[in-house]
Amino acid sequence: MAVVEQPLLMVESISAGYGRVDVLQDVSLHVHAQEVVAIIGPNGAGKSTVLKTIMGFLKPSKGDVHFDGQRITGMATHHVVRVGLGYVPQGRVVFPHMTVLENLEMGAFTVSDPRAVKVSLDETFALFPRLAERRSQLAGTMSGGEQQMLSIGRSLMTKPKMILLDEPSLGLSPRFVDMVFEQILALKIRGMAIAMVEQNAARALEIAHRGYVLELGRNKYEGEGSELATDARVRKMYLGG
Amino acid sequence: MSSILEVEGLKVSFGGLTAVNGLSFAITEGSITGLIGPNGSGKTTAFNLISGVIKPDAGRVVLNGRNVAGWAPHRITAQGLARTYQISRVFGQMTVWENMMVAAGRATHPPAERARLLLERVNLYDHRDAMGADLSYGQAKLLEIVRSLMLEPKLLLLDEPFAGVNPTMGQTVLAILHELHAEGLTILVVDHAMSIIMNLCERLLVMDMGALIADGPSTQIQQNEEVIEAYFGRRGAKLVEAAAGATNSDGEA
Amino acid sequence: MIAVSSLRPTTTRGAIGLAVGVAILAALAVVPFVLPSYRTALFVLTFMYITLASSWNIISGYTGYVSFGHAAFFGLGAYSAALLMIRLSVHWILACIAGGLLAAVVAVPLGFILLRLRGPYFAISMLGLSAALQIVASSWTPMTRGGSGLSLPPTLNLVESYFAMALSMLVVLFVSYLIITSRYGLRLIAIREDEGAAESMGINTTAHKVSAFVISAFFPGLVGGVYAWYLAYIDPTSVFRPILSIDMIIMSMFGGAGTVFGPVIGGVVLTAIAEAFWARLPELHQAVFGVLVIIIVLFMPGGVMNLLRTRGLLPRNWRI
Repeated sequence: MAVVEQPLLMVESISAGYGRVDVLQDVSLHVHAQEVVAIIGPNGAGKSTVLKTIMGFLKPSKGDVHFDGQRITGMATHHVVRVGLGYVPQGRVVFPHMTVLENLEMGAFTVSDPRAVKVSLDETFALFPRLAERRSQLAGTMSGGEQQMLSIGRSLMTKPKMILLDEPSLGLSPRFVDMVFEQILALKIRGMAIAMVEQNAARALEIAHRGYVLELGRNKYEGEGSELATDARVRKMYLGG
Repeated sequence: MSSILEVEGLKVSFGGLTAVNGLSFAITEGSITGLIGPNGSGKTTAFNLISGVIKPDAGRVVLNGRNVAGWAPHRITAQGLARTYQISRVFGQMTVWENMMVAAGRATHPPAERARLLLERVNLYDHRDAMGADLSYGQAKLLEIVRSLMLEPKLLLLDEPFAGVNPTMGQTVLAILHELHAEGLTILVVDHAMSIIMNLCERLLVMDMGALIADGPSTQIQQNEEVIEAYFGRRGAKLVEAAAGATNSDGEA
Repeated sequence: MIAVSSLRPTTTRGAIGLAVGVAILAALAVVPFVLPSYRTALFVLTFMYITLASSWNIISGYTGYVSFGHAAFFGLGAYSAALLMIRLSVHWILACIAGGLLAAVVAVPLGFILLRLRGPYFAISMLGLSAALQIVASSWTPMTRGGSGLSLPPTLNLVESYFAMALSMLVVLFVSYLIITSRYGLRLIAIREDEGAAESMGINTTAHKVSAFVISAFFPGLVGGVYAWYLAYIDPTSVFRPILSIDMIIMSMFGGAGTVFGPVIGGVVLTAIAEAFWARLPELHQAVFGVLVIIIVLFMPGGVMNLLRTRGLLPRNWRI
């Protein structure tokens, strides 16, 4: 990958946490445009906390976050979205009593131009034809995999330059895990920059260009996706090895 | 050594999702066992089934020879089981002392004496008049543990006692558990703090997708490929080809 | 019921409290003989409201199961006692006790059924119950004479009513005190704080909730009978009206739900306010109550007693 230009997302030595204790200590990572980066690690590594700090749900006690050349450290979440970051939270958060279409429209809440919304909708439907088929279906009646698709689709409605995915395959059966990774692959093919926190490290590293391995709130390893996937040290880490 | 707890074919589903699917294992009296597994493997659900918080769809939970599957929690507790929760459920509008007193049932020792001794072990006796709501995270965890000991259980289920706890507090919790084990209490622990669990527990039960995938000494489990795969994840077969073909995986545009 | 020693007051505090208590009781004992009837009647009403608020407190303040229709038991007691006095010429004291017992007995199956319902649903179900009983009282004309109400043979009974209400109040307060300083009461608080955790700790929450509910039903039933005898007339509206249930709640909450004296403070203050407004502006007192609810919710949740606790004037776990 031609890596001369500035990374799209730069997280520099952030420390952050909930309350008095910092869960993250001095964590750094970066993601280039069109790059898929996986953030993996055993439980308690603070992976989701990294995404929450980037998105502004938490303010870091130390460190900086830059996106697209702009300093976004501690910026309010809705501003972070406006700057071009999309966020797909953990757990397939959809509005169960609204239709697929309504859910997507909710995703475009910050977009004032209705024509832009229509364009985004068309693009999302093109990317995920299954959502087009089910546009009038109530989100609560869809399968886990479809709900995740909808959640991702909704994040696309603001035309982000980059998407943060928080544990997209969590709690899904193997069949739906396949479905979700196909969706992520589709995004990758379209050239979307992605930072993905995943519990299923093997799958995440398979699809990612690069990966960061966190342990107990700190950077532990970093490397090409394929390298990390076969690195015995990484695998053993999960069982306290 | 007899089995204090025998779980046989335990099964429960919520809607379309089978959270626990034919779980079976036995716990020897006086042992300290760890129950581990990736997120969503059904560990907490298993605890909830054993302690009566949820009723199973099928299977047996044999505690001291009696099948308590489906019993109300307070009756299972009366049979000698106590448990703690992932997020400590200490009674906020009561003092530390009152928290201990409310657990004291028809205990053999005078409850006040027992409570004092237990609180002193975890350095909470001096805080006995503090309200539950004012305790720190770690203190609440310790209180929940000693409070459960007021019930004089024979089997203690601990749900993530090390979660979110700083290293110093973790040492205190570890020390208490070692002591209790030495005193003959049977302990079953769920936690994600791998290195601690590996050291603390003689034996590990590993769950994935609602069932047991491994059962053995910690050192063996650490090398077990299937267990590693359960945590690390399995690669998707067709995805590998698709990824290789469809994208410029080294990024050349 | 075993006492939790840290909850019963220490000797010096206890001695002072006892002395003050005896003084107050002595003063109250002479009221009907020194004050004009009008003022004595106000005391009767206050004692009744304190009893009602305190009863509500036993189920709702202690276990957290908020009842929005406790007037149901008041009305049940009133009608049962009235009918016993009218139809069977039962002595008023026996009739009132029977009214209380009937309410308590009805509360048993009711408790088992309704206390399974979560918070808002339990509240609404009690509201529905008192509304339903009001309709029964209005419609079952052969028994209750419907909307016309029941008239009892009038007696000059201010002094006896005064002491009957006072005694009921003292008994319910004493029972509240015994409960809240015992381990049984601590278990009720545990249910309020976290019912699931309480269950896990071996507490039979159903048995505890139902028993508290039954106790909380007896006293309204009892004073319902006294009320009927005192006024010599009751009708469905006067004994089942929703505002009665609401008044109990506001009084207990204003004074401090979950404590013994909270309902006393609430009962005294709010009855005084109602009385002050009633003479001049009858409807305004309800508006004042409404404002009070807002003040309680915004500035003093937990009522007066909690204010004392948070200011450090009372220990943080003071429930008396």
